[in-house]
Amino acid sequence: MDTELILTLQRGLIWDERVVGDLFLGGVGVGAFLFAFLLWRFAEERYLPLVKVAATIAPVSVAAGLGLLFWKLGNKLNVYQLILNVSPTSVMWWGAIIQGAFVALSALFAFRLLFPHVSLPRVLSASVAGVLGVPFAVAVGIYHGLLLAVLTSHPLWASGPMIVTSVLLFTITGVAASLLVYLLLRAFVRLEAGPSDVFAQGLKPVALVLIAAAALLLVTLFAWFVDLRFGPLPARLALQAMLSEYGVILAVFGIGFGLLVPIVVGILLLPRFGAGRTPPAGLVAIACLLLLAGGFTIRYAAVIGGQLPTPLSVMATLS
Amino acid sequence: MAKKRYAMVIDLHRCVGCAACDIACKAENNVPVEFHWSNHIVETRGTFPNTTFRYIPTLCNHCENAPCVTNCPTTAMYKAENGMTLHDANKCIGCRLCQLACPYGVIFFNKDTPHANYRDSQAAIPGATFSGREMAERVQAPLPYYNPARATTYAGVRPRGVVEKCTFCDHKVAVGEDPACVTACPADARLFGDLNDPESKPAKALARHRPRVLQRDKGTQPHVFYIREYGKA
Amino acid sequence: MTAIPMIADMKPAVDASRRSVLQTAGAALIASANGLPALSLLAPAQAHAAKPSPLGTWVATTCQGCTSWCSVQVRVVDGRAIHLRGNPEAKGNHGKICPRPHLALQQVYDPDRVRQPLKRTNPKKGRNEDPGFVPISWDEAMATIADRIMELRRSGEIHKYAVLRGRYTNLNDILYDKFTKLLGSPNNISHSSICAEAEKFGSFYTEGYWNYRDYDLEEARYILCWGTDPLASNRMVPHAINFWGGVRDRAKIAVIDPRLSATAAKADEWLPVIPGEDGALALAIAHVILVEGAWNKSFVGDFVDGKNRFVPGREIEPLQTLASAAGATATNGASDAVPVPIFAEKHTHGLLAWWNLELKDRTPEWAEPICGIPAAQIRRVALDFAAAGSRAISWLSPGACMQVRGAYAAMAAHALNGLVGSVDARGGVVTHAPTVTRGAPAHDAYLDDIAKEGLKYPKIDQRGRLEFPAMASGRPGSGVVTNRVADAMLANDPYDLKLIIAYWSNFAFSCTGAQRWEEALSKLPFLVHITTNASETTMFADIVLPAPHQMFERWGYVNNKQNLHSYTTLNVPVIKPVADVRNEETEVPWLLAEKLAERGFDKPLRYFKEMFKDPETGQAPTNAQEFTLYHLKASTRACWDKTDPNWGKYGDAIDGWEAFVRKGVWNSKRFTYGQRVDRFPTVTKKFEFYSSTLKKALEEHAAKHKVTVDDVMEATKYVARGELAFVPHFEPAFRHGDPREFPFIFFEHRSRLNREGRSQNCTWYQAHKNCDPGDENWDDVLKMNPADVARLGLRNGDLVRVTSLQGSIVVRLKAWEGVRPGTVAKCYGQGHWAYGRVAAKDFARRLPRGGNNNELHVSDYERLSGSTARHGGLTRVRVERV
Repeated sequence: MDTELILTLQRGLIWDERVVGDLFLGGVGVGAFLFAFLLWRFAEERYLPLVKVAATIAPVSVAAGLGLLFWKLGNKLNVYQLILNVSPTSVMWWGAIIQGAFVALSALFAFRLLFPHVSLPRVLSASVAGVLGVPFAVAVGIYHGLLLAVLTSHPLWASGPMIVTSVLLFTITGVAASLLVYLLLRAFVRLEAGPSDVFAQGLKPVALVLIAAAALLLVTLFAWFVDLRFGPLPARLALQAMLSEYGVILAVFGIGFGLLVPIVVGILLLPRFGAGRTPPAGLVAIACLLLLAGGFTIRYAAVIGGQLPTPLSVMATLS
Repeated sequence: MAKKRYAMVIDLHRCVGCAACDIACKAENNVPVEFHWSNHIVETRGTFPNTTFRYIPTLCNHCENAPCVTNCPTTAMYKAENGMTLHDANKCIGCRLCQLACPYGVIFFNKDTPHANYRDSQAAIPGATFSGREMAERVQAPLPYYNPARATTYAGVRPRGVVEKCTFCDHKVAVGEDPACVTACPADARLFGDLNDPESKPAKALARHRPRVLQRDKGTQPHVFYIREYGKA
Repeated sequence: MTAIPMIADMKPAVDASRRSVLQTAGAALIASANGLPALSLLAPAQAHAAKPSPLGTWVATTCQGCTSWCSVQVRVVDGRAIHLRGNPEAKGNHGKICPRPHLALQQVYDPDRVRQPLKRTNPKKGRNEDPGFVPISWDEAMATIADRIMELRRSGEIHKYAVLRGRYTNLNDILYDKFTKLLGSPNNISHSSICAEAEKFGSFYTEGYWNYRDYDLEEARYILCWGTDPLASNRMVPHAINFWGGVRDRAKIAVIDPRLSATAAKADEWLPVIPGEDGALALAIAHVILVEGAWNKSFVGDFVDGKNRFVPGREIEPLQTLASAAGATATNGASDAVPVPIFAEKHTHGLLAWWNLELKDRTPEWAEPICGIPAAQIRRVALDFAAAGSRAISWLSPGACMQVRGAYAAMAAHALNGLVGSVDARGGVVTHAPTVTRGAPAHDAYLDDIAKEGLKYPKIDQRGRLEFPAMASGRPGSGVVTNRVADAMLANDPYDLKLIIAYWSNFAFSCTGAQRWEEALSKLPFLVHITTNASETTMFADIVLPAPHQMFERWGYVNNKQNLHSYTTLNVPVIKPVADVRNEETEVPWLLAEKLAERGFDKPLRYFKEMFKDPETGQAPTNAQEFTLYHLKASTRACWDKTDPNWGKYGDAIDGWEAFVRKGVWNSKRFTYGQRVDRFPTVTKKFEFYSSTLKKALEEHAAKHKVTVDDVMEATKYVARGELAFVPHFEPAFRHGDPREFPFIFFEHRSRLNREGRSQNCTWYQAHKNCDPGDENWDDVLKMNPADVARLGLRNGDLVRVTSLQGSIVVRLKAWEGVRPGTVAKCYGQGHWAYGRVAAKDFARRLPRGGNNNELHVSDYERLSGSTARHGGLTRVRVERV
């Protein structure tokens, strides 16, 4: 018989779905912000409605994520301690500072776009907010990966691809969320008169970016898998545990419907993103939805699956 | 005087696996029953009749390179001057990142207000036996065997929403006593002291025996060392 | 409900007038009425300082969580007990304690404790009957019981009164002994024989010592444990734990135990004997020692010419001429040489007889299939053991002898000490240094006619009958047969019982065939249970009296030995009692005596008042508390009173009662080796391999019943006939249940966290249960070898029904390599269906956590000693998925 080991640990998940939500929404937020800023800065004005939607999503989404995280805190009343105490070695402390700044900047950016006529000091212009916001957005995106990647106690997290995954995920989910919300609003709220029927005209680069990012994510996930599969024993065991528990949903919803189907759909629709053509909005929306669901699934499997108990053979290693 | 570097050496040859350390720790530190500041790993290996059993006492390793400290966003978890890894419940926001960061599973989170059994108003036989609340009220303490000395350096009972862990009984060390698990060990298997003092018990033991630590590859540099073997190798 | 006093109304057991008396008597050691700490004298900081120090005060008392009875200290802060440690003054446990004392904190502050006297309102009794307990006053409780006693005395049935004692302090001589006799009942029934009497049988019928032995761990070079798990249980736990590291450095350790025990895990050899076959193993070891010439010649002696004649299978003529001794062929011609004893035995008796009757055929190869231990291992252990000579310890425990046919296994295992000469030797198996305490004064003058009449009745437990020789200390019919009481009650044989006071005992849980006790107690007209918790037995009680916790809430003392020191350690009320309790051994009989005196029967009260004076002042007691204290002081007087002739003579010279209380323990001088050799209190004064002592006892018993010793053997389920009855010999294990129907041998073991059966309501017990090898926290697993688990198509963690001829329990299955295929093991202690809300899974619905082994064990006996057989795999079971 195998060696039997017993160690009584505290039961239950340490970080639950709320943290998954935080990371997911945070990713959506920074992705949407970057999308909005780039469109606003470099594309034509007719995308302004889409820009506004994306710009609005950014602070709302990140703030909602932070709200989930706050809800998760055991001692909420102590949260001011984050500001009172400087903890430069803590990724989470940096994350709190950066996210705070990002929410402020992205909110200002969105505000300036939505209410351009409200008079504010010059320094608070959309340009300033946007330009300043970009590095914070990128930092937040990296932070989401780094937060987990520095926890060497969790082999599933402590790997390079973890950070790359996080960056790619925010790109994909941010853009997808922006498009989806825009399409939904257009369909059901008719938020703005204008050349709405040509929403996708000229968005081919965006589609290309999405497809490329999704494809890259596939590659990264594979790299992650390889990294763990051929890594040290704890990594192998952690991967095995995660796959046996979440492998199926990861494969079906994360990779199959979450990445492969949208990639195929994207490639098929690509010609229709060209100038003067309009891709079917419904199909685009579905593809975006799948991407979002896929992104959430990957986060979920990584965060929850990464917390499966460390094998006791690892914990009992005396040397 | 040189800076202290407190450490513990556990002599597995002397340890008999009785768990007196675990229980004494609970009493000393007002630890909820579900938590195990002082804990153990038990291992049964082999096939009958060539079966062996061993017991590895565990506790916070008071790592030199403590991931819980590194990752704590509020510095609630911190390294004291004397090498102990300590926790300030007043700064703790309950994010539980320390728990995730610790490879040893020695940090515990108070999901609920602890010691619920001494706040319960039900009696096993109403009118004939006590309720937990009644028992605690009778002796005017949050739990009847509450140790007030624990509150001299840490929350006497850690409130809901924060984590807690072994402190090397810093409140006892502060008054010149050994940690509770050391005193309670009937086998004298635990040696506690200052590694910077070559004459201290742990320093001498480490000089004589090959020290081992748990999960060395994690690079945490624990201050809890193990020497010799529990049973037949 | 209205009778429950509010917390603010709660008064300790001492009122103001009593207090003043005690204080003037110079013994202000008892709780005062205004809530100051119990030991105000010892805790001046708390009594006087405005703000108590969080460090509090250490106060000495005694732990009776197991039979080690260690002297401990309690940290008292603010009148609360908060921590435990060993008493540094104690030489027995030398300042160490095992895990058990720590658990006691959760016992004394257990919310499920009985808070005040209760009476039953539902006359129907049974496990599932709600007793309908309602609180009553102590006065009412005492009056009710006194009425019952008077009724029995009036009707000439006072012998139908019984006291069932479980654990006890040495103050038990009041309630258990004197009070029972003064009433006129022969029935003071102790728990002793459910504990370990068969073990004493081994040492008594070899070296005349009806007691547990001490062991010189510091000097030993080989330790052979017979089911002994000294790191977890067995009478010297902290001492053994503390010395074990050193023992492992100096000595080889072999553990014979069907389970990989805590000690087996830290031994050089594990011999997983088939349960009940220890005797075969011991005999094979003895055989090897003789055949290989490895016995201790300076203790046992040798063949006159130094030539070893122990050849397997060959009998040895004890008287031989030197010529034939030299090996010459026998001739028909008469020889002039006079036959001489060929073996010159020194300090032992009957080695050749043992060889010829038994040992010559007991080869390791013979033993292997019987006991399951490979012959090579038997040989190796035997020779290593013998090589350590007089520093080899054969350490017997209940596991190897509390078996239906365990008496001879006990003798065989203990006889090994004789073979290597470790009896009474440095590094060997020793007895005890003397203690100086004494019991209660003679009571004969206070026996009235009714009492004298009552005492003529035989005891209820059927001891001394043909099938129950119960030969404690060599006297047939002198040992208790505790567990037989239930059967006797059910059969009204020799008569029925009408009133029982049971204290510090829970036979409805702790006796094998526990269901019989439930039945017997259901039938009993009146049961008084004195208990801390509402236990299984309590559920059948008519009156429940809350008991003080032995470590924190009462006076008392006990004697024991560890580390070659005997000691007397005090039970001290270190805190104000949590519940409205009275000392069950002294205060309750006093209060009852007062009520009896009111009813016209004043002998007990007069005895108490006239015979128990304060040794310091000469004052007679005026109340229950004074009585307790005076008796305690008088009993321990030689420990602390300079004027006592024995003071300082045998151990510590402690100056004064208060100093004694402060120190908490009196230590004897260190044991002196070698004083018993050739003065053993056996028939031959020698260490007997052929037990003339047992022969005498058995023949006496046989004569009493006008039968032969063979008939006695038959009646007591032994297979041996003839002379074999007087030597350690092989007896096949006796098991209840057909192997085809019940394929597994069920055996049990102890937990290092068991405070006997009383710690299971502590959450700390449950939360650390897996420190018993193979066990799981918060559970009570049946351990089965993984091969068997697979064979039965079961899985680790399954809920299984375990069924024997006696009953059935449902527990979780644990696949574990620490038990032999074909056997299943479970720890004793769990399976409470009462006791409290932790011990029981659902107290209200009487659902146990796990299952009680005693509901599986068929009640049977080692009858020569009167013991309850609970080991040796006496019960076969079958295991099925639920």
